Amino acid sequence: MFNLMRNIRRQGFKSLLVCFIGILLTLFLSLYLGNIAASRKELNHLPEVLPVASHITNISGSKSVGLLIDGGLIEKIKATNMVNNLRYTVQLSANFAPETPEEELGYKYIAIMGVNDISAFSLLSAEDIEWADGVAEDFLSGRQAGVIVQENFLENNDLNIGDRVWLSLYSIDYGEKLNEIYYKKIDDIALEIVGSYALNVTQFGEFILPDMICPVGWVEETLQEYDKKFYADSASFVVSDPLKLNDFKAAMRSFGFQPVNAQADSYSLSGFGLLVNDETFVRSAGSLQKNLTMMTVFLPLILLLIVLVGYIASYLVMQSRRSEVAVMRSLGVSQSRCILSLSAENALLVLLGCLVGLAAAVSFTGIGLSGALVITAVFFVSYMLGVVAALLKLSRMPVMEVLTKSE
Amino acid sequence: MGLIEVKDVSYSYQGKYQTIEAVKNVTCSFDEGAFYAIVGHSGSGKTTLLSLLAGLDLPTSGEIYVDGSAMSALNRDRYRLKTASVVYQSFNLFPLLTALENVTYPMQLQGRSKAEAEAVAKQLIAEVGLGEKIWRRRPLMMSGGEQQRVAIARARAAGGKIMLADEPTGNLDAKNGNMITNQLKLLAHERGYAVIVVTHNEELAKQADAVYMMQDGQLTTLAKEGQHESDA
Repeated sequence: MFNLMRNIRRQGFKSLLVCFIGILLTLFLSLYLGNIAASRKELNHLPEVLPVASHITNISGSKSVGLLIDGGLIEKIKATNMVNNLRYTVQLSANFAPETPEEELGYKYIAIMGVNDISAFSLLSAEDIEWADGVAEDFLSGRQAGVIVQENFLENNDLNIGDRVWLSLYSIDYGEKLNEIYYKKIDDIALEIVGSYALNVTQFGEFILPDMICPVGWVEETLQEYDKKFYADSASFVVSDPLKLNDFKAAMRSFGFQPVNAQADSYSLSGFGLLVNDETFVRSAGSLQKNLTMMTVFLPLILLLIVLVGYIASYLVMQSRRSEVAVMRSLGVSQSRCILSLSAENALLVLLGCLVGLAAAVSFTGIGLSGALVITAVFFVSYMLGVVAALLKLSRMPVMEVLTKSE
Repeated sequence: MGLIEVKDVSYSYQGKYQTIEAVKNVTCSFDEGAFYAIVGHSGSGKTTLLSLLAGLDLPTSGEIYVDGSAMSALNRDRYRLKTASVVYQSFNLFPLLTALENVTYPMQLQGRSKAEAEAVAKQLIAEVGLGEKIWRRRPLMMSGGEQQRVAIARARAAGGKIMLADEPTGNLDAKNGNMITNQLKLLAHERGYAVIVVTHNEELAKQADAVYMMQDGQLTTLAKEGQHESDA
C-alpha cells in the first residue's frame, strides 16, 4: 500500500523468515504432490510394465493347445474391446491332391497351422521367415489363400516359393469322447507358397510341428464357405486395461469361461478354462493403490497444516507490529485495508519463497510447468488463508488499549 | 449546539469475571475553538471515553453526535481519517518511517499526491517548531518532545477539527510538556480545533477552557477559577 517493498525491506529478518517458511513448505508440498503424481503415473503405466497375459485352457488348466475353442467365443472376445494382441491358431491337416483324376499320389500327412500373427506360434519369429517378393509380414493377419512352408518340406517335395500346391484339406475333430481323431475333408484347394521358414526344432512335446502355416482368417472364411464350424486350437491375449480386471473377468464369465480348476477333468479338450496371469500385477497395483489412497487421504491434512503454519507464522511475526496496525486503525485505515496491506506483504514474500522452493523441487522431482503451477496455487491459497485468518484476528484488537497505557 | 454532543452515553464490556461499566450515563458537549481537559484517577474511564469520542468503540447505550450526525451512523474509519485525530502518551509514530513520512501518511491515505503531501507535511512540521533536519529522522533518533510534536503534526495532517489526546505530556519533561500544552492551546484558540485532552497533569488541566472530572465512569464538570462546580 504505502510502500510495499520498503516495508518488506525494513522488516529485515522477519521478511527473510517468512520467505524461508515459504521455501520449506513449497519444497515439502512439491515432494508430497510429486509422490502422488508419480504413484498415479506408475499405476497408469503398470499395464505396460506388467501386462496381464491370459490364455484359454481346458477346465483343468492342463492344456492350452490342441483345444476346441468355439469360434463364436473368439468373436465375442474380439467384440469386448477388453483385450489386446489376441493370438489364436487352428490346426488342419492335408495331403497332396491329384491335379487330374488319373494322377495317383501316395498319402502324405501334411500338418497345417492357421495363425493370425506369427507370434501365436512361439517356435517361430519374424526373422525365421523368408517372404516372396511383394508379400508383406501382415500376410498372416489377412485372408489370402496362401501358405508359408517349412524349408525342409519344400526341399523334400521339390517345391519352391511362388509355386501353387493342390491340397486335400481336412479339419480335425476329436470325437465325442475326445480320444479319437477324425479328419473331415473340406475340399481340394490350390494354395500359393508365399514364403518359407526354418524350424530349429524337430519335436515340441505333443505339439505337431506344422509343415505349412496359413492365415487363420482364410481358414475361418473357407470353413464358413463350406458350412463347417470353426474351432480355434489355442488362444491367448493381453488384458487391455488391467485396472479394470474385475469388469474383464465378469465379461469372460458371462461368455461361459470358468476359472481353472486343477481337480477338474484334465483330459477335456473343451476350451472353457481361462487362465489370467494377474498375480504380480494385482500385488503391485494393490500396493501402489494403497500408497496412493493413503497419500490422497492425508492431503487435506497437509493443506490444513499449511494453513496452520501460515496462521501461526503470521500471527507471531505480526505480534511485533501490533502497535503499527493499531496506529493504522487509529488513523482511519479500515480493517479490510489493513488486512489487504499486510497480506500483500506476506503474499509477496511467500511467493518469492515459493518460487525458490519450486526451483529446488524441480531439481529433486523433475515436476513440469503444469505441476509447478498447481503446487504454487495450492500452496499459496492454503498459506494465505492462514495469513488472512491471523490478520483478521490481529486487526480486531482493542486499538486504544494497545496504544495507551492501561488506566 | 457543540461540535461533539455526548448524550447519556454508557459503555460496558465483559471482564474476566463480571461486566465492567467503564462509562456511565455521560452527557457533555465539546465546541470548536475550545481546549478541554478530562481528569480523573486511573481506571476512572477517561481513556474509554476518549476511545468512544475517537470512534474506536461504540457506546453500549446513548449516542455521540458529531456536527449533528450520530456516530453510530457514521463510517468511523472515515471519521478518524478526516475529522478526528488522536495523540498518544507514547507518541505511536511508525518506527520505520521518517518524521516526514509519518506526517504524509494520513494525507496519502486520503489520496493526495506524494509531492503535495510532503509540501503540507513540511509546513506542519515547521508549525510545531521543528526544523528541516528532523524530516529524515526516524522516531528512534528523536527526543520525546520532538516525537510528540511530529505526532501533533501528523494529527493535523488529516485536516479535521477534532484533536483528541491521551496524556500527551505524560512521557515528557516539564519544558517539553509546556511546549506541547502550548501547541494544543494554540490549535484550539487560533486554529479552531476542539481539543480534548485526557490527563493527570494538573498544570495542563489548568490551561484548559473547561475541565471535566471522571470518577467511576461518571463525568462531572469542575469549576474553573471564578466559576461554581456543577454536574455535567
